[in-house]
Amino acid sequence: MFRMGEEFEPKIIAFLCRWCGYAGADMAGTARYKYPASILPIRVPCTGRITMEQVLKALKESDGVLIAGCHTPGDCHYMRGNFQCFKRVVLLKKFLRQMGINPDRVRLEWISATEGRKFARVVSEFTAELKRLGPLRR
Amino acid sequence: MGKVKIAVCYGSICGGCDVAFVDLGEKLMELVSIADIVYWAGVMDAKEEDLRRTEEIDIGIFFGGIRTEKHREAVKLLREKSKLLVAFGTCSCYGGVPGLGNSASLEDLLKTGYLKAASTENPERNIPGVDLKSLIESVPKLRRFLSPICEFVDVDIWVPGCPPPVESVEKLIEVIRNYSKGRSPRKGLFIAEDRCLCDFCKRQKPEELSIKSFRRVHEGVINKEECFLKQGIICLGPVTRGGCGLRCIEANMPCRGCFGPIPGVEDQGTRFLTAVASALGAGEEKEIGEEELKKLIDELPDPLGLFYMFSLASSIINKRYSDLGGEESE
Repeated sequence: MFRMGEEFEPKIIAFLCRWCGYAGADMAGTARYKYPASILPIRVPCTGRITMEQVLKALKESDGVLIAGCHTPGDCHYMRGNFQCFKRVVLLKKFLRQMGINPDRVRLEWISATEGRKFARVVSEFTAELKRLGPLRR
Repeated sequence: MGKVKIAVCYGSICGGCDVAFVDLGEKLMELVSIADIVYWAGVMDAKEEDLRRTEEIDIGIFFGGIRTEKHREAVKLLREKSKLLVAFGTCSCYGGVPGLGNSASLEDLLKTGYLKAASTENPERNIPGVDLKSLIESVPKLRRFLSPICEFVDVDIWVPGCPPPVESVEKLIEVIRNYSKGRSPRKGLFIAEDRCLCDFCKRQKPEELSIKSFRRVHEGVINKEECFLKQGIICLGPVTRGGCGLRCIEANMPCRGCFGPIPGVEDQGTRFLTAVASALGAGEEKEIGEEELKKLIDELPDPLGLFYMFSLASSIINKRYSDLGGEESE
């Protein structure tokens, strides 16, 4: 729990697709790129498998949700799962804004299996941004 | 067993649930022949004290959601006294339309109601309970948000619908009749179907749904034989319980979701949001591209009002956050 006076360390729940996002995170580790220990990774078969209920539940338990999958248009292992996720997240962000939640707290990124460096950069950037936004509170 | 003792208490209501009973017509007299009404402010002269004095009643029926502290006391009192508690109407079950108020802060709601609304005439610019100190004692305290009754009490029978159709009220009376013969309903009985509305809808449905553009009900002619979603009109049928008798569909109006989520779906609005997003340009996303898809999604400016019309108060994100910093007021 965040208290006044302490430095706020954001908690990020990350849904990573097993083919790209998760493999990219693996690559970041293998290559020993440094990034903040702020994320809790969850491996999913495809970003298209993630329901927005899962994203909202994750958001209630954290300060931000990261979703990383295969590049559009052609990289998805299941043809168009990444597009499904893209469309859902765009629509969900509108709902979040209507409920007074900053839509930037949900971040969707395309990270391929070779982009370990990008993975480390995204986590660092997102963590810094959430530090600026502060904890998600009612 | 003799007559069943019943009582009806109110939360935040519009009066439609009372009318749903009156819609029964002469059949309403059957209710009187099997039940003694101990308390029902809308139809008889009794005070809440009479309910308090009654040792025990058999079936308590609650209309409306919980918006004030008074409502919360009422539902707790009813639960205490009743062997079976019925959540009657969508507000009671899921929060209903008044639950949409949860998308704003209490202060904003009061300001809109008492100062900003076009029909408001309030020269002294008083807001009850805030500025009129003398009224604070007599006006029940507003809670910051509206909740469905299951947030405070155990519910035995659910009767969704806004308002519940005559068929549902008839089924409820059947339950009361069976109870008078000693047969209790199973716990958690829903007076609704367990399958989604589309399962009962007679319109032609596509094998695969792909929506290329959205339109509202007043834009163009609606084909009476064809699925609304196929025509680009938002219809909550896929995530909503059947059992309403297809009242809206047969009037050529799409489903707005008043019967609540189908079993297995926790959050009706979010599940629909997930589903409708997948149908957008389905199968052709690569050709359409991210930018064009975004524009297509911009044709839906109000997911909150469309997808969560009846269920916001019982969805996962069910209360307003204040996380937008400077741009708080939209």
